Amino acid sequence: MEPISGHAGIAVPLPLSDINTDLIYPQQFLRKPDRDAMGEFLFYSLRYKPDGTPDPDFILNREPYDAATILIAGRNFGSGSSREHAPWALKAYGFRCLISSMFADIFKANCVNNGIIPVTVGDADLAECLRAAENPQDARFAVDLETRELTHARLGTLKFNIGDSDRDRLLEGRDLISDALAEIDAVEAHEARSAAGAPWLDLGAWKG
Amino acid sequence: MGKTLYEKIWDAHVVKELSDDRAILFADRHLVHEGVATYAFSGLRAAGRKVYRPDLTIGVADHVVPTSSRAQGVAYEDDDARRMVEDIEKYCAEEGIDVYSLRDRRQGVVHVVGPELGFILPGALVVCGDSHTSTHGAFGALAFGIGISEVEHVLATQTIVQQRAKSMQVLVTGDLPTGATAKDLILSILRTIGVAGGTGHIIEYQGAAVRGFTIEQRMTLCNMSIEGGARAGMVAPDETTFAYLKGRQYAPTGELWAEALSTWRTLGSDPDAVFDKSVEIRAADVAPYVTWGTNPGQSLPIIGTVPHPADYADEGQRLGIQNALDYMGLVAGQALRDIPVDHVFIGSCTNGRIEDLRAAAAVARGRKVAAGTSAWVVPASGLVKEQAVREGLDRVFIEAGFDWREPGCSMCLAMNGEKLQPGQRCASTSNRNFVGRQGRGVRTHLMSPAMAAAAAVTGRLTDVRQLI
Repeated sequence: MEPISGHAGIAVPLPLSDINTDLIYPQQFLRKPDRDAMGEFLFYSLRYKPDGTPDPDFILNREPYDAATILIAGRNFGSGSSREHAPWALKAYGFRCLISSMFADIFKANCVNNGIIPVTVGDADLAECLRAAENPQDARFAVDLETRELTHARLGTLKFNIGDSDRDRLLEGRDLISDALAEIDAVEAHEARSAAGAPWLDLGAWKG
Repeated sequence: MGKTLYEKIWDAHVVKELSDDRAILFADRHLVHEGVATYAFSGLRAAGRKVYRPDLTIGVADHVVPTSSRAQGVAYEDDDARRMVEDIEKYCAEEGIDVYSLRDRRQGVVHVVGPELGFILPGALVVCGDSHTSTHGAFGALAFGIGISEVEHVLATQTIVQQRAKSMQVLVTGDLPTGATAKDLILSILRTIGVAGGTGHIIEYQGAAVRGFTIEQRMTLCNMSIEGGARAGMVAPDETTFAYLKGRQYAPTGELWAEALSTWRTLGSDPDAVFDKSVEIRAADVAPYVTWGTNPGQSLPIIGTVPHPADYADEGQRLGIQNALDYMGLVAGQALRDIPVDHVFIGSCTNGRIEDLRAAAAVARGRKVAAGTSAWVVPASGLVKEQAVREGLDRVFIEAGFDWREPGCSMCLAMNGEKLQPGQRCASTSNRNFVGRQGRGVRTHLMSPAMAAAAAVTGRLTDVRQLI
């Protein structure tokens, strides 16, 4: 995973609560094999009319938001399905940072695992950010992961929340699997404890 | 201070404590389906890694398999779907993982197959690349959905990194009235806590009504915990749990069974355990429910009327409700009972088990699917289907005009291409009524199997209590 220390760019406002991962990436494209080509299907039912042509009423199809790399969304963003296609599509489209007042648990983990910064702010700050971004001349935001600060020309600097481990992970671009494999002695020790205390869980040992 | 069931299972699975209240946890059981297998196994291979504990994973094909007849071959939606099924079979065979795919009579929805095979045990930590993994909490397991990167992590290390969640008690007092089911209970809970009320929490369901539930009813309850934002829901194990597990394929036998049982009987939250959040639900207040909106928290008793956006103080809420009504083609104040349906879907990991089919068949028996309405029954697994046939339920459905189909996820998420047309309205026993879930522009109403069968035979949303 590439390290990321922050990001600056145009933010697109989506002032809807409870945007679920079905809406971010619908089921008819879940069979696509290439995650880098999934940006085309991001927010499909909002971006495209039933005949497949872009819907000019949808904000991502309008300047300057068609070049957005930051997404500001209502509370409880990414709820529902665990499909990692949602962050894959967001990343393939070009998003590097998401701002909301609450992210769904599985989605947030998936974002961090793909180097997307989930920025959590309070509901009042979120409302300010959404309002600011609705002005096309005023839609640039900058996110600094080191200082946990969100900066905007008119709003100034806002503090945001992100857990230490998520932040460090993004800053360092750490591969969790390598980290866990480095602890394989501890895994083996747990397996031995479990085999002694709860041997019925150790299928390989008794089922063969 | 005592510990919650969640804390006990967490503590028993810590491989290594990390900073920030995180830990590397050992996953006792891992289920893989074909919707994630290709990505996860190919990622594993690309990194030059192997499956660390193939004995602790099973593979199941369910998300993209067609549920039309397989007698003349499998009618996949496209080559991608076929490849996904071929991939899970191939990767599992190469890695020494037991796989239940289309050639196996036990194939079906992963969250139904796992329990049927006795793969899910009390006190176990269970993961799967699907949000409805919460289903398995019905066994007193800690079970939660994970992303595909995390599936790869589990394959490579049999561990998963998690941050300790908060705990939430949902105490259901009293007993459910006639006509109300576990599905109605969870819809009423979701209405109470909202679709983010459980975010950051693990739910434990307690109380007389839950204790009285069968394992299948507990699975329905735990299944939809994720619709309230909680990654996991759980019910402490008891004799009902043990009776269900005894003799199943992956369940321990002989002395090992006896040893397991003595441990399982001690599993549960301590009486003085403190939950971070607590909600009490009076079971007597639960009635047959339907959803009227575009998330599972937007639910009401069938005797209710579509809400007025103007009744809500918050502007965002008003907008959300109006958007939902516009999508659903409903107007404020409209009676839920009068709403006609085009299609009925009975199936899924929420409500596709044998007890669900029995409940639906009891309503369908001797009746006919209404003119202008189509209705599907998709047994959640091959074993459910066999049992239903043994009981003659297939005849009941077929004679009533239902389409009796092969096992799979089908129209719960329409990932296999089985979907409806824009504007069509579906009474569905599944778990999500999201915009576009069953096809672009399709309007989904969630309900219990008996309520769905009632909708099928009347052609409209109906209070099933009038038919029983």
